Amino acid sequence: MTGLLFLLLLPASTEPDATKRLTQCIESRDKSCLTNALKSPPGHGSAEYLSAAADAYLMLGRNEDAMTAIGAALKTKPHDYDLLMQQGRTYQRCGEQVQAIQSFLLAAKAKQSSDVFYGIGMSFFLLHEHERAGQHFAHAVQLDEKNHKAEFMLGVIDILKDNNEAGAKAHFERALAMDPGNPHYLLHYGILLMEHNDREGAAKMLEKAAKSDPANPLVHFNLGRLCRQMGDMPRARTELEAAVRLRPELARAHYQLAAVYRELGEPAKAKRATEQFLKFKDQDQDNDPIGNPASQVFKDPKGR
Amino acid sequence: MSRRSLTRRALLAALMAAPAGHSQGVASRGLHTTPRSKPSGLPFGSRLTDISAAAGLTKAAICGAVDRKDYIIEVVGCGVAMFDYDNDGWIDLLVLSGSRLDKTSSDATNRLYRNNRDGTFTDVTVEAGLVRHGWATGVTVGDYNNDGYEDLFITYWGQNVLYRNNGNGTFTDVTKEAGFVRPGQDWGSGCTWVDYDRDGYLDLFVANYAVFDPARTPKAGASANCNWKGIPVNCGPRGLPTTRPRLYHNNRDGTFTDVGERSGVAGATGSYGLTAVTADLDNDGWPDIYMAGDSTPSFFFRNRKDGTFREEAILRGIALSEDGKEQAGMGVAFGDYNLDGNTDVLKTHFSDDTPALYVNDGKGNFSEASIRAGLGVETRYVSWGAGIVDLDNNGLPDLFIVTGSIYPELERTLPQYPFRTPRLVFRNLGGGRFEELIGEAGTGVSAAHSSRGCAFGDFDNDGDVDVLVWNMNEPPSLLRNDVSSGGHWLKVRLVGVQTNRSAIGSTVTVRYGDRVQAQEVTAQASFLSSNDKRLHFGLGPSTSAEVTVRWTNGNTERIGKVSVDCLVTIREGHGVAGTQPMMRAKSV
Repeated sequence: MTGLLFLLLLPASTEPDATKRLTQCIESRDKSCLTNALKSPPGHGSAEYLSAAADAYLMLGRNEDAMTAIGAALKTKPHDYDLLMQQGRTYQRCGEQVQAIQSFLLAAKAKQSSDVFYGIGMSFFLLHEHERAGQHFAHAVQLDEKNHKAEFMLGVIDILKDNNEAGAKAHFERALAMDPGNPHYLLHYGILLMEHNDREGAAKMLEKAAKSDPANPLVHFNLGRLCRQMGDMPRARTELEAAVRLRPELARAHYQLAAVYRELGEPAKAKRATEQFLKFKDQDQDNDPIGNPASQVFKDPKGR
Repeated sequence: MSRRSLTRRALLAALMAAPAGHSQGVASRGLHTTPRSKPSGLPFGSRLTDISAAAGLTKAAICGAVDRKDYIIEVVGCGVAMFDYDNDGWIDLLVLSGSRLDKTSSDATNRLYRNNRDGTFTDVTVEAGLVRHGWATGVTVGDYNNDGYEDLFITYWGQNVLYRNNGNGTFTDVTKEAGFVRPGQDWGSGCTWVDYDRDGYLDLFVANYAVFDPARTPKAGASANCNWKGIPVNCGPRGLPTTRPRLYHNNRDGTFTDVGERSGVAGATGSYGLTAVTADLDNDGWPDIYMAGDSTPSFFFRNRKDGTFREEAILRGIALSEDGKEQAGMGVAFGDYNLDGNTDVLKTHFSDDTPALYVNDGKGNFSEASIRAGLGVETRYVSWGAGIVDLDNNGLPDLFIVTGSIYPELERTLPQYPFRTPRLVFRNLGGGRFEELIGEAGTGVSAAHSSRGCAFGDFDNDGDVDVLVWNMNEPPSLLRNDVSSGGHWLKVRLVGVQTNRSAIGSTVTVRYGDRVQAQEVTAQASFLSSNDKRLHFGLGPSTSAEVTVRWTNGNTERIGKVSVDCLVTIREGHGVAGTQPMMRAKSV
């Protein structure tokens, strides 16, 4: 019923053009482009258009609309593997893990793929069922040994479940061998190495992550932390300043920066950084990217 | 499953599950230990041996049930004091006690032990008038009425108590006359005498841990704040209501006035306050106050020289961990570990975390040096009382820390988390680096207890630093230090004239060889405890020392060269009033 209402509310425009425009906006990650494109949908939404609309709504944070759109798409193609996978990911993003698993299981009826098991694994992961998540990631890797996302998550599970540092390293390295420039993997591997006091190894990974994704504030934050631990205050300052420039609400980076300024004998700047820390500290809940890789994974609605 | 793996799992699982980033009732960062450096191989010229039984300290200090702890009141424990209550030149001992919720401990009381000058002590609690049942927590020692005798303020869950020393071996409870009666269930914790307005009379700062009411406190396992490593444990401190610290002004007539609001101290809220220490941390001549916060930010009350304070701990880098996280701040030690003439700060925390060592730049700005100083090698134990003290008289102040779990029920399920754990010694290697000693510091260090407070002082007057340790539901440990390094030493006793008689808040700076070391006279330190007020400086090979005193009123008095290997008494404005070789005790 909701899906039907959604369709009725859509004003008319040309179907292929509207889908193409939306897809372009999604590719460019341009929110105003997305908003404008969604204002003029086709009169009769095809599954293709609705699928694109669901992704667009997700990118805009309109989760309910996204679920409605993908539900409407599936009304026209109820057994479509891609749509069911998209529905699973959409539910996942919206925090509805049980429904997500149901969608992935329906997709599995259409095709037993590595991605299906990766999807189920992610939902169990988000339910903190690490044992079952690990089983599904392992199955995903069995079906496709090149599934680097599942390989990476097996590394995360190794830390969470057993603090198996060696196992995690092996998984991270395999994931990175398949996707060498993945900044997300590099960042997490760097943090893991830093936590286990392998500072040189951590520096290598984080430097690569910074090259691969120079606009990622967490990469600069962790590089700054590492440089500070290694006593390189000028470099720590550069990295931490980059982190807060990219994400001004990253309270942890302001705190580190205040300490670096103090060590560099710049009390006025330390005071300003502390004030920024106090301003943002309650908003900075992203405690530990190792513990919350989903926060990174889900920045991309496709789970890429 | 290893201890670390469990830590990791618990921490990360909780990080994802807990709504506000709080994974348990107590803050812990889930740190991994840093690798140990190659041992220095240097001999350590100090051995600590527990002689408590032979010394006559045989009565257990009580705190809650033995095998399980249903409420947090049963786990925090108490402080101790090393002080000379009868002015005979020999350090006496005070051991605080809690109680039991089932009231099966009718003889539980604080105990005062008089020094017999032969390595033994006599329990004089009854004669001194100090028998009291209840949940004592912290103690501060100072001469609030400037009559030449040290008085006691003791915090309690419930009514705190002020004991005036009558000068004849007895004390009188003057709580009511002094104006300290208060209703409610505030849980008094840290407390320190501090002459914040420099009028020559000791005022009083009192921290509160929480408002605790067993009837309103959830049972073990009731929420995220009542679990640890997935096992139901007593709740808190997170989840308990916090309350404000207090500041009382000394009216110079035996009474005090609550100036918490007026001074700005009571405006600092939201912390589970524990140990409180006063010193002039920013070297502006006015005493400041530092209070450890358990699982909340710690407070640095900076004296504004007009009767008010401003809380500046976050601003000055001494409230949180180096990565901006709350820690379970419990014990605090002040000292000059890097020998730059400024007072640095050591704060102890929960397990899976390191103690924090903060370096003072001399202006009251702090940088955390814990990891680079080598403290990251030890994260196994819950740490409490602590001191920055030169144990081996080599001229480099070491770190001494007592430890003990708060969950006795845990070791049945997780034997890797014992309730009783050893003491820690980090010997100072110079250059800002420490090395953890495990067996080399003596059996008194490696022995396992669930300890809380400890105090540092020279009970046998043999020219070193001994340690009195509070153990939960056990007699205290008295760790006799036997120094074999041959290092020289100096003890300095200050007597205030214009400033408060106890000289609390005064700083002594000693130059020896090419080194300089500052120490402050404190009224509370370690964990809710009070140290011997005779400041002890190890001098290493130096056979001469130059002394400068900055009194609490900001006046500096240059004493010049003094004899070493003796106790030097300095009377404010009059220089050295006496130089005495120590009166060694007959051996135990």
